[in-house]
This record gives sequence, structure tokens and C-alpha cells, in this order.
Amino acid sequence: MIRKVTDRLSEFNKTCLEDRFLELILLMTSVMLLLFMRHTFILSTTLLLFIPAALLFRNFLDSKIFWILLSVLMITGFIRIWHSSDNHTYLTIYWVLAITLCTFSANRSDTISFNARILIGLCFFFATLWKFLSPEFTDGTFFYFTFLTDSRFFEFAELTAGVDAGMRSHNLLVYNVLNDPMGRSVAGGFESTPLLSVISLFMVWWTIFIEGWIALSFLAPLKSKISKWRDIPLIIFMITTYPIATVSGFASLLAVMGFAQCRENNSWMRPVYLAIFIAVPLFNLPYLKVLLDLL
Amino acid sequence: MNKETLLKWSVPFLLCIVAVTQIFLSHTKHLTPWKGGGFGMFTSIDRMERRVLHITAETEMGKYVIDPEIIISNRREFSRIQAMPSEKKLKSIHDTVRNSDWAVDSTAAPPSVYHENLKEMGYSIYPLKWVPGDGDEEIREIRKVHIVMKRMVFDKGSNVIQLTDLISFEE
Repeated sequence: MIRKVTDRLSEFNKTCLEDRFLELILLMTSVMLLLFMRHTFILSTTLLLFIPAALLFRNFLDSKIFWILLSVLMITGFIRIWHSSDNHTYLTIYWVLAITLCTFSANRSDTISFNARILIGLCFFFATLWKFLSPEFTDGTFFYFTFLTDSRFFEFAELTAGVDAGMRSHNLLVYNVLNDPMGRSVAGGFESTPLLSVISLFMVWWTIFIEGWIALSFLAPLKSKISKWRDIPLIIFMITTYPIATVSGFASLLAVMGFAQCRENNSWMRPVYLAIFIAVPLFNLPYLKVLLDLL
Repeated sequence: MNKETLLKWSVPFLLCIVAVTQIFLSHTKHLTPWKGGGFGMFTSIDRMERRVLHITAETEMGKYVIDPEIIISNRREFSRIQAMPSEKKLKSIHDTVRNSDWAVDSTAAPPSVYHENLKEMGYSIYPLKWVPGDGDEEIREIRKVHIVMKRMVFDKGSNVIQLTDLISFEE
């Protein structure tokens, strides 16, 4: 039975994913752009015209002109909002640029896989570096504060540290008064639980561990042991991070890039990334809220 | 360097240049760690949205709060100032305040939760508004304009959240 399943998977990997590897990367990237790159009106409108055309006419999707136009469009749209753009918007633009350059390469699959692996590695390298550069992060202040003020983490804070609705509403009132330019209060007190400090410190070292592991394994030489198993930390990161911090655009981009960096020594991971890419909308379901209601 | 090497390394090189620049700007020019492509999100509580711009005008009638949205109505321009405030940007706000006509907006007191604090610090509870209308109490002389971008700091030991000055301009 297990043999049958693995044989089927291997056949699917060969016929669908290996032979159409590049085409799938371009398709997944286009879908991701269409769904998540809506930062400016001009950008989202043009993508809305461009991408369906590319999805309908595959020659268009495979052409240099399409990707050059897309790069120019994205960079010009992005320059005006560089100061307010999130990290994954930058990474998306690097990814589109990498695809554009790969259309000029003699070995397109190799060039795109290389870029996917190095870009993921560098992204997590700088993310880890920033964590060490920020004392607020390493001493747990960042997570502690985030659990008390960021609505995406409220259920997590309640489940793990017992920060209840009463504390949350008090904290948000204090926070909103300070955050209002029409007020002149400069200090206030939050309510919390002793356990939150412990949870925050655990999160600090877990984040540094998992992001550092991704950085090391993706930037290590391909022949090294740590590189061979690089997909494990990335997949753990995706399935433990995005159901809580729901950033679907980033999850989707990492799934595309994760898929694209699968080559000889880890090609068997492609179906997993493809499945994650398809399942990204499920990350938005309120799992923790449901769990809280059940408890 | 051959063409294939260039095609492989150009984008990773660009990422490194942008990220190093972001780290530099964040440590020297008040750029928020969350923005600018350095992958500093989720590392600091100093988010762009948590930076508060306080504009105060000292007049012959007392000390008044001015709503920043009156001066910078363009949302994108406002977020640019929040993301990386500079003396030049604050001076431009200062000049706008100085070169405009103001009146006391006696219809727009902030929520009562602010009143005690405003009075304690010597502010009028009423803000200033732009372009005075008929019957409004007009401001004749602005003696001093104080503009400060504040950021949040938090002490988890005492659970105290505070606003501290990031950069300010006064004239």
C-alpha cells in the first residue's frame, strides 16, 4: 500500500513536476502576484490585465518581454511606496527580477533554482541578524508587547499565558490613548500574567533557532548535510508561523520559492510545497479561536 | 565574470545591498526596522504605525494641539514621515504651521479621557483648526511651534509603556 502511494507520488513528480518544472514556477508566481500584489491601484489593475492574459496564453508567460514588463511595472509602482512596504513585497520583487534574468539564461531551471535557494537563505539570514541587533527582541520585550497589543496574537496569548479579554481591553485603551496624536499622555500601565514572560522568551529562542537554521541550511553548499535537509526547517517555519501570523502573501511566496529551489537532491519535496501553496488560504482559518471556544 | 554568473548573482547581490542600507538607515536615520527591505519585521516594537507625531503651537492665547492630518492630508506622505522622520520633514511641517491661519476649534474637543492630562500639561482641550470661519476665535500670533515624532518603548518588568522622543524640531 505504502509502496503504491510512493510509486504514484514519484510518477506524479516525474511527469507533472519535473517535466513542467519551469512552467509550474511561472504559473505559481503569476497566481501569487495576482492574489497578493495589490499595493497600489495602478499595480493591481495592471496585474489584473497582465496575469490572466499570461495564464491564458502560455507563450506569453514564457516570454522575456512579459517578465521585463512585469519587472518594470512592479519596480516603478513600488518605488513610491518603498517606505511602507513589507519585507515580503521586497522579496516578491527580487523573485520577479530573478525570473526575468533567468529568461536570459542558457540553463533557466538551474538559474531560477539557485536564485530561489539563495534568496530564501539571505532573507532568513538578515531576519536572524536583525533579531540579534535588536535588544528589544532578544530580551523578550518585543514578543511580550506584541502578545498584548497585536490582535493576530490575542488567541495565542490567551491559550498559552492566560491573557484574557479584560486585560486586552484595558491594554488596548492605554495603547490607543498613547497612539493618538491629539492626546498628550506619555505613559501608561499594561495588565499581564507572569507566564507571558516565559512564553515570550521561549518564542525569542524558537524564532532565532528556526530562522537561523533556515538561513544556514539554504546558504550552505549544496553537497553539505545541512543543505540536503534544508526543506525541513522551512516547512516547519511555514506551518508553525502562518496559521498564527496570517501573512498569506509571504506564505505563498515562500511556497513558490521553496518549490523552485527543489533540484536533484530534494526534488521529492516539490509536491509538499505545491500542496502548501494550494493550502495557503487555509492558514487564514481561525484555528486558535475555535480551540479557545472549545476549551 | 561570465554571463551565467551575472544572471545568478545579480538579484542576491541587490538584496544584500538593500538590506545593508536598511540596517544603516535604521541605526542612523530613524528608519523603522519594520520597513525598507532589511528583514527587520517582528524584531522591534518601533513600528511605523506606532510612531506618534505631536504638533504643538504656542500662541498668545495658550498652548494648542494640532491634528497632523490637517497638515499632511496625504496618507502616503504621512506614512513616509512616520517611517523615516527627518529634521527636514519636520521643518516643512513647521513652516506650514507658521504660514497658515489658525483658529480655535471649539467644536472638536478630544474624548474626555484626554482632558485631565491636557489641562495638567497646560494645553487647551480644544485643538486648532485651519482656515477660520465666521465667529471663530482666531489666532493672531504663533510664538513657538514644537514638532516631535515619538516612538513607543515598553518595560516588561514594570509593564509600563511610554512615548519617547525620536526626533524633534522647535522654532
